[in-house]
Amino acid sequence: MKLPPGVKPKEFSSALAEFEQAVGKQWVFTSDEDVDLYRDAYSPFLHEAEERVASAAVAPSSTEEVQQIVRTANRYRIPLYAISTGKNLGYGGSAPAYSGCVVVDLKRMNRILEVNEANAFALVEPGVSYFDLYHHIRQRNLKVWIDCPDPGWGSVVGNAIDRGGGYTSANYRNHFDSHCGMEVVLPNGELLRTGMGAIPNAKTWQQYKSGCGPWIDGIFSQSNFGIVTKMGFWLMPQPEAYLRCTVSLSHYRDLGPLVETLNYLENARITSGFPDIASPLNGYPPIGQIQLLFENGPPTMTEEHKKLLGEVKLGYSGELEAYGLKAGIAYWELWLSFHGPMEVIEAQWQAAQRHFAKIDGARFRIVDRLSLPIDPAKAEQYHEPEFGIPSLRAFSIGARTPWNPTPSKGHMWFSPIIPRTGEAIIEANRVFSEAARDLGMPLFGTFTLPACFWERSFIFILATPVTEDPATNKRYREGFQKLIEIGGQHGWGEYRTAPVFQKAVMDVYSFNDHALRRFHETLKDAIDPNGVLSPGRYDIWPKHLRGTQS
Amino acid sequence: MDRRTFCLGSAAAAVCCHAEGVFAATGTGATGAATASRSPAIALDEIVFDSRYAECRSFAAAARRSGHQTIAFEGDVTPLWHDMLRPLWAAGRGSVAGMTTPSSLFCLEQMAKDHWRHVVIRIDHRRSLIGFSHRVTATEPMLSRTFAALNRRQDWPERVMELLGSCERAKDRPCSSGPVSDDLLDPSVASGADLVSWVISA
Repeated sequence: MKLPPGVKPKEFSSALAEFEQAVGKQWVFTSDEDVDLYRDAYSPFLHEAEERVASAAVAPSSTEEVQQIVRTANRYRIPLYAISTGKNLGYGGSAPAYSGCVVVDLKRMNRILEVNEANAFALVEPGVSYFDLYHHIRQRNLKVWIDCPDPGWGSVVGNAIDRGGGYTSANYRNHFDSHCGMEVVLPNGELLRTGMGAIPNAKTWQQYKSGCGPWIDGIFSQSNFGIVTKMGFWLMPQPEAYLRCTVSLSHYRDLGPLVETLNYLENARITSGFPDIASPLNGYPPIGQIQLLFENGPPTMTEEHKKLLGEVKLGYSGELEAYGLKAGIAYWELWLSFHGPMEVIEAQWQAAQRHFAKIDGARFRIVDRLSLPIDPAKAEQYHEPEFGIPSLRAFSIGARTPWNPTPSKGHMWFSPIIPRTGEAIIEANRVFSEAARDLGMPLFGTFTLPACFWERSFIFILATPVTEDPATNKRYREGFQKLIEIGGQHGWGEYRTAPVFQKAVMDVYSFNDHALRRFHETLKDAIDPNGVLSPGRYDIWPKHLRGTQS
Repeated sequence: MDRRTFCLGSAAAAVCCHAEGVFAATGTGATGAATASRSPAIALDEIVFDSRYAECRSFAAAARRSGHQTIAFEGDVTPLWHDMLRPLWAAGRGSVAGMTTPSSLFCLEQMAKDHWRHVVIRIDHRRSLIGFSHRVTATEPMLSRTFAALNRRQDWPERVMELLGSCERAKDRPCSSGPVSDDLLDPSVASGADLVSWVISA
């Protein structure tokens, strides 16, 4: 049996016995085979001793059991690492930030406590997956949508407190922003409710976010200040209709006006569905089409087109642009989607066209015009998450095929936030493609376009491969760290990262001699003096481990 | 629900008897020592296959000849997992064998973890223009049995089903991995999807 660092076998045995008493013997896992289930399937330390692994796992089924576990951990100084379903692959999965932690696996806490159709909100436990919530709503024919990521196997709570996102309307795509109210087990075992939930017998816990006084919900995301055991979410009223359209532009210079116009339209809520920027001329598909591309193969391309692509710089050459004009291939293609009553979204599309028409040569196309709800049998023709339908199809992206002959073992997401401008897209391409080339990292084709999950900023997301070869993984890890540093030098920071890179990322957030980190540490010392809860998560270490971890 | 629930029904005995015949036919079988310590074969509750691939269809046909029911799917495992496997696993049942693409297995393995279930054997079938090469990851005695049963066999999909139908669970033995046949294939040349055969059990 593995031991948590600094914990004697006898103490660990006593703690495990107390865990068993709290949750039942069958829900405490200590065999290598069971504990291995909590390894990160995409660990960048694959086959290496430095891989961060758990010593044991415990799976409570209620808030009260979580409280007992935390109190026991304090008595024996056992480091815990809480996960909800542990499916955030590419950002660390279910493996702890600090090797030897006991994983507190919350997937048995899978109750959907309320879905309120009339006011469009839900209250769920951390073990509730997007699939669970989606099917709960469908079975009851409730007229609300969830917003889910891709794949949809993860926890609604877990993805929100990891600050993930989805694909429907701007009001709901940011999962932390769309939450309303939390219940949290604090590191001393005490129970806290945030927002209106702090009122006993609260009537508006999921209807008014901030309550009164300091709004503290944010400190329980990407942190180790508590274990969230309930969380409320605002849901999207089921729209009546859906319209998907494209705006095509012919010149490289059009990227800036495209983004500027999109920003106005989205910030004014004239369009609110997931915007998706593609470059057909650069062979770069919209995110929503990537899985279809991997399933069916890339679009055919003439030899002349391929040759021209081999000569572009930052996705541009005059010859490529001229070829695009001659062949009728757009340089940029913006996919827009609209949800709402048909007469409203048709009017929104009309307004959007009027604004984009200010860009010379803009062309417009309606791709889909659907009444909702969509027939589930037809949903697979689309990128399901854009309809709030969870799916596992994203994994077709990783298959070995003639057009993907050497798929990676996994990936680490490099995800800096950059400004929402055309200039920033080109600058990020320049900075990171030069760095990737120097570091020998296979991150770029001709040009990369950012993801539009968030309002007012882009995620310039790049998948860094995880391979079977430790030497290659080591090189990629070091390269990844360097990319984080380079991003920081340009004022860009990651929005989320795997535990192995959390120190490097938080190093970038260094304003005023790391005032933010020092504040986190002050909080940690006050809230969790024994340092039992998820040590090292987002580089927040308890006092006794501070400075000892790389 | 008890995650350790493990069903051994009459089907298991039937599969076990059938498996003995297979290994006798290959002329190798398990060693005497392994036979002496043999665990009961896993009773398979479901056999699943990706019906887009001829090899998977042959595998499924062999399963049906052995008396198993089979479930077909095409690429996306979402409905298979949600409608069939998840309820089984949630009920503490559901030892499942399959032949799928590696990405489908990856999904199912991650979902099986939610029920503390493991991939107890996986046989990777790597496709090239000239055929398949195989690599097995398992504990003994399944490792040796796979080498014996699959090496240079043209009818490997059927053989794989027979192997998986007699799969033993050896929790106390180390898991290892190795090529079943000489790897003649250029990994950079893919002529279609790779496949993988597997058993997921408690």
